[in-house]
Amino acid sequence: MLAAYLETVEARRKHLIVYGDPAETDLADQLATRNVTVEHRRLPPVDAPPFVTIHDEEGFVGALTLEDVQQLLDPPVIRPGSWDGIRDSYRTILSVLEETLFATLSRRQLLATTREFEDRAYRIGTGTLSVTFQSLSVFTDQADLYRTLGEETALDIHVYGRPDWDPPLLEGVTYHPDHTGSLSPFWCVAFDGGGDTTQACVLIAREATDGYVGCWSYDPEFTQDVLASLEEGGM
Amino acid sequence: MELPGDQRSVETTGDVPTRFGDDDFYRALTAQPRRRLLAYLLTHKQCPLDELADVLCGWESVTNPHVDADRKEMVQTELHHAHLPTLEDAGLLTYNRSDEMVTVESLEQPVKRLIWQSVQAEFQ
Repeated sequence: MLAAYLETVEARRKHLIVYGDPAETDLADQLATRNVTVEHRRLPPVDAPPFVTIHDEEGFVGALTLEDVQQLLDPPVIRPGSWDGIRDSYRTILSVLEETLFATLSRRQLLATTREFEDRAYRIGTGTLSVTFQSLSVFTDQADLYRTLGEETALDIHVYGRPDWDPPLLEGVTYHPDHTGSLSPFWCVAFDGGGDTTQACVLIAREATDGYVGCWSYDPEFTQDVLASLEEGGM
Repeated sequence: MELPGDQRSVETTGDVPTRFGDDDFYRALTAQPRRRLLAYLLTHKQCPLDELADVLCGWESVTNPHVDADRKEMVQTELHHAHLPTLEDAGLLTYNRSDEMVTVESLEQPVKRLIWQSVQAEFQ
């Protein structure tokens, strides 16, 4: 199922067309790791504001001035508490920013994101945190960290991996042997936010020839789906 | 009789495009979307209807924060049924309805300049 999630995310890829002088914006560079393609088209030689049109798999979503898009890209990117009244184009740009799909991502970058999610779970201190490992022996290096997570929080932690090692019994940690090895190609971390959906986060990556391909998302529903799918063993 | 300077300059200007004496030409330019799409076409020579609708929506987003898929649909319908036929009648472009491709005619420099300036003036 993790493969299917990755495909779903990939299918949600957006397409931005920047109308204006390509030399005036580095939007394509700024969005290089996002789930989006960027194209440039020239405007007439008049002093008219550049703009961006946004397209998804169904076609045109909306248009924004380049200035508006640039403002949305400048940190901090704040996700509105409610989508009501937020126009489609803003929503789409924000979803592009929330959802990253990377052609290649190094192990180090994935580790950094994993640490960020684990740290988030630690701070919230409650909720479900699920993590997959290629095999449970890989978990060896992480055992101390998860001992702390289990002992110092009320987190419900689930660790998945090929059963090639007897991991230590840790408070709050449940092991799920992946007998078929169907999870082996994936790197997955998901935290449900512990009742605070704005804290939900999920990372799924698949090993590729030159690194990893995958995405992370702060979408609570997507996170919940991945957690449920892991729990059901529908790997 | 001595002519004022500005009148003299008109008389001494070189070739004046014949369409400057054509009512259809002025009628064609009396709508903002038509001037905008002509300006865009002059840069690209030829482009699909869909792209022209994108461009009009994009420029509209400068003043209208609610340009969405429905608005684009409306813009595209207006182009197809009203604006493009008007511009075609004035001999400024050709619109191929079967593949929805729009091609601008070869226009004289003063005509191009007028079209560009009309768009520039809007955003000043």
